[in-house]
Amino acid sequence: MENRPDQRVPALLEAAPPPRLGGDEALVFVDHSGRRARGVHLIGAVVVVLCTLWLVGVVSGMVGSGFPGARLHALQLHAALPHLHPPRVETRELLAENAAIREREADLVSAGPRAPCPPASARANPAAAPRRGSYGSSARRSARAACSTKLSLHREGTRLT
Amino acid sequence: VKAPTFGRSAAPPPKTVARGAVFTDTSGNRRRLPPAHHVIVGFATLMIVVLLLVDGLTTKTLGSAGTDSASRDAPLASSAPILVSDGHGGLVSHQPPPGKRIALTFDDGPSQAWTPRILTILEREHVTATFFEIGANAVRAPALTRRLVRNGFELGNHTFTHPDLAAIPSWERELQIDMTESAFSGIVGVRTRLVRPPYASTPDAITSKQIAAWGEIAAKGYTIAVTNYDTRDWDQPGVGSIVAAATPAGEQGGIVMMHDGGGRRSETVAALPRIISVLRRRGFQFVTVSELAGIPRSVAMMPVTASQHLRGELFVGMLGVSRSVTSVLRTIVLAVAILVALRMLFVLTLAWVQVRRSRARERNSAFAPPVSIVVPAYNEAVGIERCVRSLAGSIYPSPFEVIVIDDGSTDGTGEVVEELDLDGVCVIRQENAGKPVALNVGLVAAAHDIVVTVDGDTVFEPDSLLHLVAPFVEPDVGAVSGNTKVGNRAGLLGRWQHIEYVMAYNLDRRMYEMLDCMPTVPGAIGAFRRTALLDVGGVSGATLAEDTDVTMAIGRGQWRVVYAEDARAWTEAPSTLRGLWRQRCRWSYGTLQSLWKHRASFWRPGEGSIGRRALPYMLLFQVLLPLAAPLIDLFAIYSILFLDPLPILAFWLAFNLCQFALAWFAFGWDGESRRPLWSLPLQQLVYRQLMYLVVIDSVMVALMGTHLSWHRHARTGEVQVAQPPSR
Repeated sequence: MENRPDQRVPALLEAAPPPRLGGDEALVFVDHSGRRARGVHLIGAVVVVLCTLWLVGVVSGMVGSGFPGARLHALQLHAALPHLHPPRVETRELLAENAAIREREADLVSAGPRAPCPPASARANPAAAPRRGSYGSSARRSARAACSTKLSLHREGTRLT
Repeated sequence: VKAPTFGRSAAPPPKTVARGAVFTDTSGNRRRLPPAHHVIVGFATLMIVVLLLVDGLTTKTLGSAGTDSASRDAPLASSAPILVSDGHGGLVSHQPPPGKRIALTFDDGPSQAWTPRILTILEREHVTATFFEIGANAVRAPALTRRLVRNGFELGNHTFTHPDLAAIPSWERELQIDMTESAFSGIVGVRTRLVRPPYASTPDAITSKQIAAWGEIAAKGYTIAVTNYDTRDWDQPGVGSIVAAATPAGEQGGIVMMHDGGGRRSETVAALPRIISVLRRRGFQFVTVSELAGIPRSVAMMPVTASQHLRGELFVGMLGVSRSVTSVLRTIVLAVAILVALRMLFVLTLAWVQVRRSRARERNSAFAPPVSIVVPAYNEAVGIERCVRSLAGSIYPSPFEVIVIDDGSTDGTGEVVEELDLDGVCVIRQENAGKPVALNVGLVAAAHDIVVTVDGDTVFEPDSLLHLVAPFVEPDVGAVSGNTKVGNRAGLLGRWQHIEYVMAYNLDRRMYEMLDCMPTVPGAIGAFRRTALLDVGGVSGATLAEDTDVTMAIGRGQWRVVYAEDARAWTEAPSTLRGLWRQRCRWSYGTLQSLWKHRASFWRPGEGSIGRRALPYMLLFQVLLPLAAPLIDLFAIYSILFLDPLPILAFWLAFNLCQFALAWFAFGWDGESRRPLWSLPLQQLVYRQLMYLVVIDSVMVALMGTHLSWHRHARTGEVQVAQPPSR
């Protein structure tokens, strides 16, 4: 029984213990100071910030500005109104014009009885009808002209819904 | 036996661990914060998904192409081609008669190949034109868009990715227009009011469905410009046909539609000078679309505000980033696919040669020196009896001893063994100190020169010991790897592991032997020359994969490590995904540790077989490829969503066929039934993902320096030893 391993181990260990039994070997990769983990966290945070910036850039580009209805309104009026001169309308002018048109329309509504429109016969007369596509200054336009503009929009356009 | 000096190496783990730690919330419930590396990996995956989605949405066409011609009506048949909103969701034209004015328009650009040629012709002839650009193309070729605007050409919006606007939902329609507008804002600092919907032609081809869709866009202030003269040049009908189609029959001009992108446009380039020449001869004047519509240029192409420009620049820049990253990812995926294919071929060839050689080689079966079998065991009460009985029952002509090292078990493992009272079997008890220490104690206690190491849940076949020791007849053999078999194959998880084990042992190990760079002698069944083990200082506890670590150390020490295919041992594989995850995390992390620990062998002379063969191979195929593997899955989904799904499905099928072929050979060489191979394709769906997530997790743990403890999976003792295969 003296030769049994469990009996000979203590003596063997005492005589010549293998170096690995001491347990003094450091674990590979393990950083008990936590410095590396903090570094990774920092890199992670930087990546998160960069990714967020990227996402904000992309998402912000996906939201367009559109063309506000006011400008559309003015543009359509321009396209339909009779004018004598070639176009020289800048955006700012269009907006100002549109505001003026709206103001006049509001005035007309608040004034009670509507301003008289041209007779139907005049509207139906092609000679009297404005030539499409010509432009001009909007400053001289009257409330009557604004009214006829609305009519011409309905008459000349191919309305589809 | 008391061994107070034995212990796990290293210092205790950090005192405070914010993430991964269990805490009690305000409601008194115990919760666990996800470990930081899981958060990082989750975020990275999410970002790749978002990046691919953005790339897919911004470069590929979504929605069906073309318009349903079966239900075609023509409500705008008599209308002019420049349309605005009628204020009621429909479209109306206020376009004045064009007279003898022609607006040349080009769609689908800019294209690096064709747009410059068209621009050169137009600039040479002093002809103006309107370019309806695709936003995604403009982002890819911003210089061309800038050149267009700088040289006085007009810009129109042709959506971002050219979908049929009538076939996509309202939100996507809006997105298509808005993104293109942002791109133009960033590139040239203008917003264009002109929009030409893709697949638009002449007004008589516009359907009610298209009117409803385009009406929404027009309601926002955009002007829809279709065409009077559709040259159909995209169909490449011939230069003559294009010239004829672009030439008005009478005196009324209008809009001519051609294309400078989206395909081969050589006919368009050839036809353009002739069109210009013919129209000039007939007295037509060239104008832009906005001139034809009577819209001032400054209204058609409005300068953007500083904030809109900045936002546009940001958008274009970020899309550039996503394109670059996607391009890099795509290259990685391609490289991975090529590497995987090459590896399959390489492994199969070498394994085949090894099989031929090993079958031809007659090892001296009479070589049977005395052997010490060391069984480190911690809480192995469930399976230790079968293990020890199988070892004690080995058919072996020489004396052998079985030393069970009870590593501080609390389930009575040591008592189970002692109660067996088998001849030649003894138990050594120690305080729980870990497997490496237990193995070293076994090494100290071993009386013989050949030391066989066996896990406590493993069952030997009667002749396994003989086959395992036989290769030591060659004096330069320092270690021998046995053939581990999965003993619990009943469930799908067991079957998958069985397939994996058979393929790993019959392909990879054979290849390693051929290359003389075996990196691992498995803990379940391995044999070592005692001298070789003592040469490397015993088994190290510096890694969680002590078997890989010690095998690499022996390989670096000029010893040969070989594979004994007939030395089979049946082990219990994890039967739950959680157990498998834990086991593989340990293996993967341990392998990483071993690779790092033995990195010096790469440049040290005389250690090349491990350093310059096993290390690079393992780094590439066990670390880097699994790290890139999620990209393959994500790109597969990306391709199905945004590209033609057929090539990716073909690739998938080919990959599975190759895997199947490899498995077929491996099972044949191992004498295993091929019936479980039906579950191989399913392995690609859950198992493969689990395996690469394990590697990602391990890499993150390694990077962060976190202490990973040894998790052992719960044993059930369900190990079935199949009949030895017949070859």
